[in-house]
Amino acid sequence: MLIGIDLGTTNSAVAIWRDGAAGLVPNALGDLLTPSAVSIARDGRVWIGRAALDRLATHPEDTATSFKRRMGTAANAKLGGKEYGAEDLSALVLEALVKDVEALTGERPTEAVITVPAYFNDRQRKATRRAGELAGLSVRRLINEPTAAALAFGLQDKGDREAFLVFDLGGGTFDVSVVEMFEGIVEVRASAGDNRLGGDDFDDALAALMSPRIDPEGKLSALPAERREALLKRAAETCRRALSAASEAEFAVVIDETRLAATVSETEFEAACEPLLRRLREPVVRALRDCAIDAAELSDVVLVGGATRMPVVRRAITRLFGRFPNSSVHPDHAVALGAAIQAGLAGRDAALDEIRITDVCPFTLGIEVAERDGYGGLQRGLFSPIIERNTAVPVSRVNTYSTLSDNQKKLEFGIYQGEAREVRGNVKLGDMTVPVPPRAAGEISVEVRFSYDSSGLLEIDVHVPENGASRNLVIVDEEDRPDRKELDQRRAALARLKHHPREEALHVALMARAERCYEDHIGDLRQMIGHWITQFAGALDSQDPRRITDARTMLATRLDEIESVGPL
Amino acid sequence: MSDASSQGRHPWSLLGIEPTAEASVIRKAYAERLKAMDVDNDVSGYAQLRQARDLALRLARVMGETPDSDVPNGTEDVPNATERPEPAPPRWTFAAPALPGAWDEFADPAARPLATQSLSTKPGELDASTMLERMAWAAAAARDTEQGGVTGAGIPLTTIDPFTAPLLSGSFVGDDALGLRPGETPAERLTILLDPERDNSGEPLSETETRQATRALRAILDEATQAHVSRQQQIEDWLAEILARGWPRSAPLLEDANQAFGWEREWSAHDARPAVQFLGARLRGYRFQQNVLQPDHRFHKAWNELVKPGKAGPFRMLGGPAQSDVDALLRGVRKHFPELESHFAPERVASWESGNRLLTGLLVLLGILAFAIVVAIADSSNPSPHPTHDAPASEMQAPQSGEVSDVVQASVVEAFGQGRDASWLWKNQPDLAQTLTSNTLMGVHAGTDRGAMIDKAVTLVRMRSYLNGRKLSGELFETAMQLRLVQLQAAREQSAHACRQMSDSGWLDGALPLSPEQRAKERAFAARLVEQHALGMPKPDGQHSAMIPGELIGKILKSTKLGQNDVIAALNGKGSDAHRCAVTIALLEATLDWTGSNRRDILMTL
Repeated sequence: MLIGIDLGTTNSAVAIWRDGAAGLVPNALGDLLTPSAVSIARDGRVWIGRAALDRLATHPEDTATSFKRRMGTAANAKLGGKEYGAEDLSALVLEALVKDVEALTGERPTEAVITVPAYFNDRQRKATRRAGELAGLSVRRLINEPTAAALAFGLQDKGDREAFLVFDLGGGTFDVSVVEMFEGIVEVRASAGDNRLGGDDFDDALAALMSPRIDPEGKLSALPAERREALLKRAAETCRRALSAASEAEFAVVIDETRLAATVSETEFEAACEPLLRRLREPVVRALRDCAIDAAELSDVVLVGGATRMPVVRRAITRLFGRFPNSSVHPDHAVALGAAIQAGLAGRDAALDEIRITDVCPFTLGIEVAERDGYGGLQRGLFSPIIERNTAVPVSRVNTYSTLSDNQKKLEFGIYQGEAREVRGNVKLGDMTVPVPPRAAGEISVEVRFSYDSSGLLEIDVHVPENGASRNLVIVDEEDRPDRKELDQRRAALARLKHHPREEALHVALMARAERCYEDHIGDLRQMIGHWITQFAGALDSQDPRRITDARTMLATRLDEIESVGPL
Repeated sequence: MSDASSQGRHPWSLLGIEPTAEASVIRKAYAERLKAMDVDNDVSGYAQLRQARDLALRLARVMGETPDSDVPNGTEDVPNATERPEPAPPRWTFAAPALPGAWDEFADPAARPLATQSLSTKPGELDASTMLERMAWAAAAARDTEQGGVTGAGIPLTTIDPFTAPLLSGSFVGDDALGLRPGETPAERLTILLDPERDNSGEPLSETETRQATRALRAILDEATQAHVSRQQQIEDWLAEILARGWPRSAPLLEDANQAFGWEREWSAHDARPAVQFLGARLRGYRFQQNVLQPDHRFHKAWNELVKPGKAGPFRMLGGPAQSDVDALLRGVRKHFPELESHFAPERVASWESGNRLLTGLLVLLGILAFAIVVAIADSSNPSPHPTHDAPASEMQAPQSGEVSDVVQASVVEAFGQGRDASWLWKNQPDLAQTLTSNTLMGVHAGTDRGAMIDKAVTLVRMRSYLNGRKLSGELFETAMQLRLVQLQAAREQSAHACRQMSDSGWLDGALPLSPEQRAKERAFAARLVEQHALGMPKPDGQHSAMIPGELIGKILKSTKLGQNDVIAALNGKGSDAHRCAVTIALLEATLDWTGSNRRDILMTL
């Protein structure tokens, strides 16, 4: 079975294409969204999703969130005393989603379409693909998130649509795509983005604004970094949510028996976000410029991504486009649904026979060259584009290069992605060396062909006409390319982790939540919650299903009451 | 597009439809064909289909505008259709040339994008009276709008002449703090302050003017942050143009504008807009200049030395900057901020430069009665905009429309004579063919006039044969030098400056006034070079020096009627253009008639 997965920074979701429609698959708790959070204890027990998010409060040193932002980097997180990369943690989330599908359909899916931010670079894409493989999935295709959202939006009524813009501000990444739909073709005209801008940054801005205010004595800075960050992150998230509904909200953290809190107004928050809001403009302008469409011609501005719910962001968007955006698609569901539609397309489902989607490569790909400047000096490190950004994919392009010095014996190609004129401003994807027969400078020319496929896989062919030599390279990142053996080792390490049985998921999640509530409150309330936890633990120990269910219902009701009183 | 046969194919036949102005028909045909193909296994087929679709849509738009005209086919040129009243700015797919000098020099109209062309109304129109009229009109327009119950920002976009002002809303009563007269917008104030045609445009902004300009800029930037994206873009484009045009007076304003629009992130991009690229280079230079004026900067002393007028004395290094610092500063400035060299006193630069190369040799030689002089010419020291796209990288198979290949063909005939064609050039001198093609491609993109593109090609070929001529031997070398004499004489007829430029770089903007016979010789020579594969990219061949015997000096003195000191200065690359030109021509003439032992050495320096 082929499934569609939205592997998000904050939340992930899985959807399947069944009976001519895409549908989201609920997780063990009955939720359609699974927080992208993982918590691993020293004994190897692992929590994924909401329970892990709750454990961020109680066990910050064992818990990781927002690891998608570290995708494609060598940065590791230490959980339960062991190191895990972003790929490993993502694999655990993917695995949980796979199990949800298995629970619903009785069949274990083996293939998936996974979404990535359009502006994810080649490294980040490769890492995502590997995460899928670690989770035991063969990744049929990576599809850009705004493209997936456009599919979900476009197929609502299957009618033609003039160019519209998908504005996708997620937890950690920002994408803009201009899309058109006609005759069943969903055509992405241009994409641009910022793979380092998302809802998390708004939280950080809020935390940076508020932490000196709530904590003039510097109590927070005395805490270990993980704990401090976890506290601030959660406080900021809660406060930001509250600010979406009211013009003022409380920003509060609880350190042991002390509660630090202060009120923040929406205006103050907006001012603190100003630099972030300004960064929303550039990708919009670039995408529109690249496809030569004026903002006024757009038929719609479609909002996707949880962060577009923030009123400050909505106001900025309204100002940016001089009109109200369209929020007819569910900002958290559209991407996963689109991924399922793409899965249906890839599986050649008859219901999608008349639908095609064409996408673009949102960044420029090319090689490093040197050239002589006006004073005869050699300028190295220049970027020579081969595939220009926003070219329709799949695409294959060839450029010719020649030797620069006499009797040059080899040509070295650094392969880069990005928009800077000098390669040091771009992302390096790999290296390639081609021997050439020694001749006078400029006499040897080589043809370099770049082929970029629909999933964003780059292949390079170099041909030397002089001696007929050829080289081929499928780009894999240099330093963090794991070999087969290492992949197997990592898979085995993940397999050793102890997962909670599915039927216990509700208890486990509730227990994590109760513990988090305990941390969040002080005084009598805290003691009371401690008492309830003991009761619930006793019920679990009895192994009497009925008693457990009753205790669970009661605890959940009580926690709901406490948490409905106010933030924290 | 990777398939040459596709270029000639009609977009209509590829789409399987009759020519039509109906976009929906084209889209439908495209959709049907797309659905029938597996794009992943037919990458070039997909590329062709898309190209055909895009071309067909463009043709359809043209046809829609001129219903009575013949149906254009794919091989014809698509006019620079600005179909919409507000054309969206095109993408800059070409790199701008190096950036010395003023914006007007830099912004070769041919290389200018469509959108800014509409802005390039002659700056000369902006005299005070026109501006006063505009101000009155703007004020009236704003009043009307307000009475109509529309807020200031509600003025329809299409009525705004981007050159006049992006700002019609805002303060129309006089504002002393802003320096605004009644009815004047901040944009108009800024336009006036930065007007390059103004009397005092050669001077930097005064303190009051700077204050006014900064305030006006602030008001404009405030409006931009509040505006929607089309408007922001419009303001940004307008501002970039005004600031570029107003350089160097606009220098103190660049940083603020840069921060507001994030130009810093754009200007290092390979496809930055020309105005932004220009401003980026200026701002970096301006920042460097601000830093170097600080006493603790590494090159502070060297900078102060070079900006002093007059020659440096023989003991310049005592208490002055180190030679190595001066060298490093000069190298750095020339490489990164060429326009800053205008701050240096040329004589002083020359005396520092000669210090490490020529001076000692010259003194010794002058002592000898043979009256010998060392002449040094660095052939590539000319910092004028290099118009070719001579990177080792090149797009061999860039999409070529019929127009491109047509212009390339015409350029080849014009540069090498009848009977030559593009395939001949590709066969013998592929890199040149490539450069011509990509230049033409850029020209076509930018809507350059056909004649101008051909002229540019001829100039390029001339430059290459001129520079590469020094490396030839035997009879070809002789021909090259004869031709050189003719070319320099012709350039001299134009102006002494043109002559010097020609002799330094082989490059001359505009046509060289040559007779038809002389042109024929030029063509034949260039064609011979191509057949010998000798018309590749000119390579710097370092410096040449030669001893010039007294006999030749005597002839020069006689034919130029200049004084001995003037001649020696000119031979050392100093003195006025007119002198240098006269001496170069005289030396060339004299040497060609002479058969001394180092004849070739002397000619090599020319």
